Amino acid sequence: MAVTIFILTSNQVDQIGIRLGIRPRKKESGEKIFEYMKRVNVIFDHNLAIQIFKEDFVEIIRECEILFLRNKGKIPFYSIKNMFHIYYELRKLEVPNLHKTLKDDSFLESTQFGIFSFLSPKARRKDNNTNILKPLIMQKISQKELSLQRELNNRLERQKIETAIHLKMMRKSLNNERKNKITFQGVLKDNLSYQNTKEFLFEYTILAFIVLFLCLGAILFTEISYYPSTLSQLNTWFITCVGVLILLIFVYLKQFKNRSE
Amino acid sequence: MKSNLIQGFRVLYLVGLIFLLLSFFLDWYSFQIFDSNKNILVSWNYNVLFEWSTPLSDDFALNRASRPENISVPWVINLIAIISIIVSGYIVLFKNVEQTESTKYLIHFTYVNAFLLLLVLFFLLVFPLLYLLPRALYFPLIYLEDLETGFNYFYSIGFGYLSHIIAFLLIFPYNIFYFRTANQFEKENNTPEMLVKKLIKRTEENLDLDKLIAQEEIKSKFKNSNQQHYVDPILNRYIKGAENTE
Repeated sequence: MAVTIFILTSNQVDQIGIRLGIRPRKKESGEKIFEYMKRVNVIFDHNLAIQIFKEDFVEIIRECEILFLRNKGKIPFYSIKNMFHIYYELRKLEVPNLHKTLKDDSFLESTQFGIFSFLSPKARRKDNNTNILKPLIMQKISQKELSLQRELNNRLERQKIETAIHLKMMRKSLNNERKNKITFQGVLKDNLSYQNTKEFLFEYTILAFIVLFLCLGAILFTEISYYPSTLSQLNTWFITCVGVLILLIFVYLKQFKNRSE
Repeated sequence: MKSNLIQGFRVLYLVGLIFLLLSFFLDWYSFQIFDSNKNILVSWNYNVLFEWSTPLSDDFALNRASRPENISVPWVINLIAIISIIVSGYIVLFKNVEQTESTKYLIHFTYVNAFLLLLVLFFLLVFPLLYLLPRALYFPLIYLEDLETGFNYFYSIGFGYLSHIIAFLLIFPYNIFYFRTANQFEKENNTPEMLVKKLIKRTEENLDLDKLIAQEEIKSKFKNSNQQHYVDPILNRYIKGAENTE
């Protein structure tokens, strides 16, 4: 149980640190959990005068960890109980993702992890136009989404589903740097929005006929204007062309524009 | 059902490209003169690549004299059109918008397809307006009787132009669909959120509870005799790490 709680706490602390833009804990070189927590606190105290991890939590973890290592995994039950309490408190911490400039996988191998962090001056210099409140807004949206998910898992309500969809769209639009594009994961043909666009193919077919008859009508009209003697032979063609064009436009507007409304 | 629809239109697009390519080798326009006994006196057919040609022999003096004026569609446009058809065919065959892993270059492909569509429209619209009508070559089908000479004049568009019309109808829907899809959708690649999730997953230690429970059970079974020899691997890592720093 002791090993379990230490692994869980270690993972949670790592996750918090990474999301805040700090490098992960150096497990191979023996950096302890409480040492990492102190480091995070020092960085944020220096930059923003705030404390991420409470001092008493750090102290309790320090005592438990030293005891754990000294006694080779054997710690008293009350220490395990304290560790579980701290773990669940850490889980309650809502930490926004402060990374903005990550674009490709190469950063995972980078030793200069810090330059991608929100706190890094290099990251701030690269991205002058980004809304600095965006991570906090995103966090609020995620918080609201999680609470909606819990409520909807118990009971489905139409308004809450609509709110959840609206929040998702808001989150996607905030994440989306290229305006008005629908983002998708995996393969496009599985995307729901894409499935709905297939109906446009019939609309485009009608549009093709409209464009064609428009062109033919324009040519015939020009010909009749230049050579009035051809009117007797071309009037049938011209009237047919215009008639079909009007019909197609009527069908197009009725079928497709009304549908989109 | 729905994905078959897209595939169907894609096949129609390819068929349209074949019609387009074919149209360059067929006659676009024909001009004929008949006498009152319906004997053919003059016959000229126009092809965009090979200009005017006649099925009648050189013995027909009237035929030679009645040769219409050269139309001379620039050969560059024909060449660009043929290249665009081939490139567009490659794009639609091998860069399927549905199966694409990356939407980054799709937008460039849409420009090629859109350019081809504009070229087709150019041939459909500009050829009759700027090349035929100024030379008194009527569109699309005219039969004139000259009562004085007794000759009957027949002007008509050829299978080449008809193929072009059919090709336009076949390629238009999928072309617009491709263009709209490429502009509307974007693959969600490597957002900061996704990359941070990857890093968190990479740094996390796996917690295999079944394994730990099994280890505890083994420990308790061998509690008296073998406990001193049993080494918990996870514990070992923590202890070694602590020893290194001390």
